[in-house]
Amino acid sequence: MITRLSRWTAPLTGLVVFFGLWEGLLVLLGVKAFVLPRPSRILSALNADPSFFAREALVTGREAILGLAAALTLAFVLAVPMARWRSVERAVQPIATLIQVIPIVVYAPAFVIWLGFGRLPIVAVIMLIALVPLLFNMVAGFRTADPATIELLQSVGASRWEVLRTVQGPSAVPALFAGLRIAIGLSLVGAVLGEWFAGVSHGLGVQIQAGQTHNAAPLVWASAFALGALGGVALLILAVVERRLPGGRPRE
Amino acid sequence: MIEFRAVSHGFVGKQGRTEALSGIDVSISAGEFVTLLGPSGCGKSTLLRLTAGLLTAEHGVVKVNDDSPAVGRAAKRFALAPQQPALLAWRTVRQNARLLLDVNPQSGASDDAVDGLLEEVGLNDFADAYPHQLSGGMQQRVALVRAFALQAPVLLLDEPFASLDELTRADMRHLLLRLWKHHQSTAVFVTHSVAEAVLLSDRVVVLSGRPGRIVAVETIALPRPRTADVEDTDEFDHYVRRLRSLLRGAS
Repeated sequence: MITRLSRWTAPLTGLVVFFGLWEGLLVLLGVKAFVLPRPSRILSALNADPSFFAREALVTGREAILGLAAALTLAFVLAVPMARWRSVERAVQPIATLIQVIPIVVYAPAFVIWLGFGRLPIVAVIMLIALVPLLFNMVAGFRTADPATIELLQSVGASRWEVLRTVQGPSAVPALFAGLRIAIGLSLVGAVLGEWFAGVSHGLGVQIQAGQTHNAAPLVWASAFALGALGGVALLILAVVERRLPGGRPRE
Repeated sequence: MIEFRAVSHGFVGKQGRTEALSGIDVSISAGEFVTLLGPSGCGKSTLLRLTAGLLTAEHGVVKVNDDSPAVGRAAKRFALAPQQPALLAWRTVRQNARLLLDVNPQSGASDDAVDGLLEEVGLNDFADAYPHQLSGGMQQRVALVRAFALQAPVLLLDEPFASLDELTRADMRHLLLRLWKHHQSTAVFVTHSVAEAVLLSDRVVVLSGRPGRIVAVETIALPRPRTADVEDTDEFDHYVRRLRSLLRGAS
């Protein structure tokens, strides 16, 4: 119980101190709200119309989930042959690296030109930028499977699918989830960028842009906080799911 | 029941071709305990993999019950115990013991044996524990249960006790003998320990270093069941000395 408590106290203290300093310094230095609003002002902006922010967050969240799901599927389809044949891995590697080194911002206008306005280019941008960390981590994860265990399964005529399901898949869980944690952050970057270029009228990225246009710093920051909450919830869900999967964090 | 006829096998690596085995001719009868004894790199493990159908012999014929090893592998006739326990960290002891029953399921195979076997090796209180909670010897016992749970006619053991300390190792040999007697399977055991070979085997196949050739096939006529006292007898020493000199001549 004590360890459980202290696990939460340190991070909570960190947050309280951070926001306390932010609040206190702005009051002390007399910084105007249109430059940088105080956290209390941002929270009250969120609180003024919570259903509005929830609705916008839902739009952005749905884009991120669709993009991540597409990236995960494509990563799996590519990672299985890549983990099995080095030549496939070597063939895919330069393309994946190229996708990674081209600045993310470039993809949004490119996809809008290609796919037209709407949600589709946003999901495509998210898929592309989340793909690379998922792919590399999945391949590395499959490779961590113990060759002796794989041979053991083969000695009783296990199919390739059974080997993947019982040994390679669970072995890949820690690496895959490390990749997912990176991909979640990237997916929100992709969602916001996509919304800026895709001519849509809803989403947290759209609201950030509207806040900038109307010089409304509290709207910008309230949307940013909503994005933070979205990512935070996603990471918490991820941690819970990982603990329940075979191959996840070792049990106590 | 297991037959090798003029079997040769090699590998292509970075330094070119390596001959692992050359002209292997030997038959093993049903229910027999045969040990492959030889220096490191003499192709003992390769011979085991050829038997299990994990490798296909380049030259010669390997037959298990008149079938090719590939047929036996698909029919789950081989129970392999590898050098390392190779347990899955996310499965409990019982789930690990069931692993080979779960994959490639065969009609009519029963899996009630697992709990009985865990009790037989003294692990019934650890059935729901995870591998990292067990000692090395306990992990290797789980690996033995996993192999015997298959109730396969052929048992293939690849230096399963190599990573254990000497005391644990001695216990494991006797445990293996008990389980083997009980299940009446044919056992092929790989080791480079002479004492281990003498204690366990009906016959010992002595192999020379690269490429592995059969130097001699020694029958160990010690009475069974072989308890710990057997190791203190003159006959035991006689076999140990004999095998040692054969090994020396081979390398």
